[in-house]
Amino acid sequence: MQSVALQPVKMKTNRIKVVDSPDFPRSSVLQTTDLSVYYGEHCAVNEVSLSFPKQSVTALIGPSGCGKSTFLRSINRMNDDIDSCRTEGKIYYEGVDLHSLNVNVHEIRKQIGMVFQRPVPFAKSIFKNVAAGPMRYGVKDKRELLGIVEENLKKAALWEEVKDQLHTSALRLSGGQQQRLCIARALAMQPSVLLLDEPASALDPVSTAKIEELISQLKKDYTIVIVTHNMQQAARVSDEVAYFYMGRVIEHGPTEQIFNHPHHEQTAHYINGRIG
Amino acid sequence: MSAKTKDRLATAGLYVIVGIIITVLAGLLGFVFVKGIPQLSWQFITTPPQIFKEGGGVGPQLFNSFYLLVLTLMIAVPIAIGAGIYLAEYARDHWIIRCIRVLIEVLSSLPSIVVGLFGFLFFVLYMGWGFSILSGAFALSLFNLPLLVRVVEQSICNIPKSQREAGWALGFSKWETITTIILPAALPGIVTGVILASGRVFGEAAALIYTAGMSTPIIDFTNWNPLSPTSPLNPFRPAETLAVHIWKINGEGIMPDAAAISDGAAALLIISILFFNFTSRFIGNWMFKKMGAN
Repeated sequence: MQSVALQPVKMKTNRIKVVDSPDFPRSSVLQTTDLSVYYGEHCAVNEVSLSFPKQSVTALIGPSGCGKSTFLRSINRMNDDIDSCRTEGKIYYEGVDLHSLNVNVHEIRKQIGMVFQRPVPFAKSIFKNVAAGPMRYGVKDKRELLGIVEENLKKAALWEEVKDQLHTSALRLSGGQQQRLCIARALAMQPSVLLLDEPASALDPVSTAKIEELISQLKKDYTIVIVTHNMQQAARVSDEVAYFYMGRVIEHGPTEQIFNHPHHEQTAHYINGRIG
Repeated sequence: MSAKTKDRLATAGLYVIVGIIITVLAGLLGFVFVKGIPQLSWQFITTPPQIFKEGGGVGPQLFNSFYLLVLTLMIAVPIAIGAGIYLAEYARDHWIIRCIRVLIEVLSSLPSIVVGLFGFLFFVLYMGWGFSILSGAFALSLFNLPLLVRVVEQSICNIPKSQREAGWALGFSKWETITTIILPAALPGIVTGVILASGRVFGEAAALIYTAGMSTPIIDFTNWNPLSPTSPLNPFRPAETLAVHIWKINGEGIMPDAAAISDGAAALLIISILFFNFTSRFIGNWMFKKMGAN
């Protein structure tokens, strides 16, 4: 599948401006500095500092409850909506501190898309699912919307399967198709970062393979952070791996190195299936 | 006794109970229909009642029932949707909220005659609307709000949290998520609830006796100006509904065919309510199907 060039679409929002700060590496689009997340007294993420290079796939691995999903959700500030949740430390997106007061949380989520573990299509038609975001940001023209829907369904490798049934309910699609629809829906917002929270764990092997292939394709245009429990998947799709344990990043490095020559014994144990 | 015997006994017992319910229901409906349906004719459902003579109809009463229903829903549904959204999405666990929930429950168990008397004191006398469709519509709105609020709240709560998160993840605000994602998904449930409430409004008599009144002035079905006193649409005219009419002619009807008219009106009422129930199922199923939730 050829990656389709981004069509500029006029949306009624301003992009977060890129700020030049000396200590911010230009190559990484997203960076966290000593990020800690607490649920009440419980510290779910403990002083995590990671940076995510542009147009790469970073896999977050680690046993259940190690804080990787919480970390992922704090990047687009989804944890704001949980009352007991408190965040410390900094998240920089293109050099902007996402916790600073003049940053609009809705704008963050528009630019940092998210796909969840279970597919969550809206109870609407396939077309309206993908068009929901652009419509929200002021695209009204039917033809323009159709263009956006087609473009993003193609990017999500779903167009061929659904092009004749765009106006039927999205809930009739299979689980794998629904998940690709959710990816198309996220892509339609023209994000630059995609957060994938175990996107294939609820899917069958064939759908999983399709999602993985899709991730490799999307890497050309997007920065992807993926949480996964599947070691083979992490090895297949990612460029970098961060191993989480008890809310801390134990090890972070290129995938090849983490899988073949991990610095920490614990990482090796986890990868070989002795923890988790 | 072996588990198998117990199972058989329990099954048999359940069949007997279901049988009793069906017999009672079928007997009741059969009785009303057998006595009432022969009275029904186009003339019966379109002409006004006669006070002293035979051959009157229930035309205005049937119209009043529908008009009252429309007005009631116009008042109650927006309030119920607002309250339901608040309780389902915004309300936190707080003692005031718990009080509100208890109050809604109390309101839902108020006898309708009490609601009627309150409506009489407040809408008819204090607000000075007199015996009118408007007073009746407000009294019935009060009466049906608890049910409707419950239905809306439940329908909204049944939408999984993941749908909300998916909306937020697209950069939608809470309100946008509710209006563009949650409410459309909850719509089939809300519609079913609204139509069930309609059945209740349609069959209600006690709350209307002191609010919408027991008389219908001469109305002219060619005059559709809502401000004119003879217009059927005038909300400030008294309006006897079908259910109230049945109650009245059984108590004080002096026409010679009072019993026949009452039978016919009862059959008409039940047919209307059955109609509401079936449409509610049909529309609910149809919407679920359209959204593909099957």
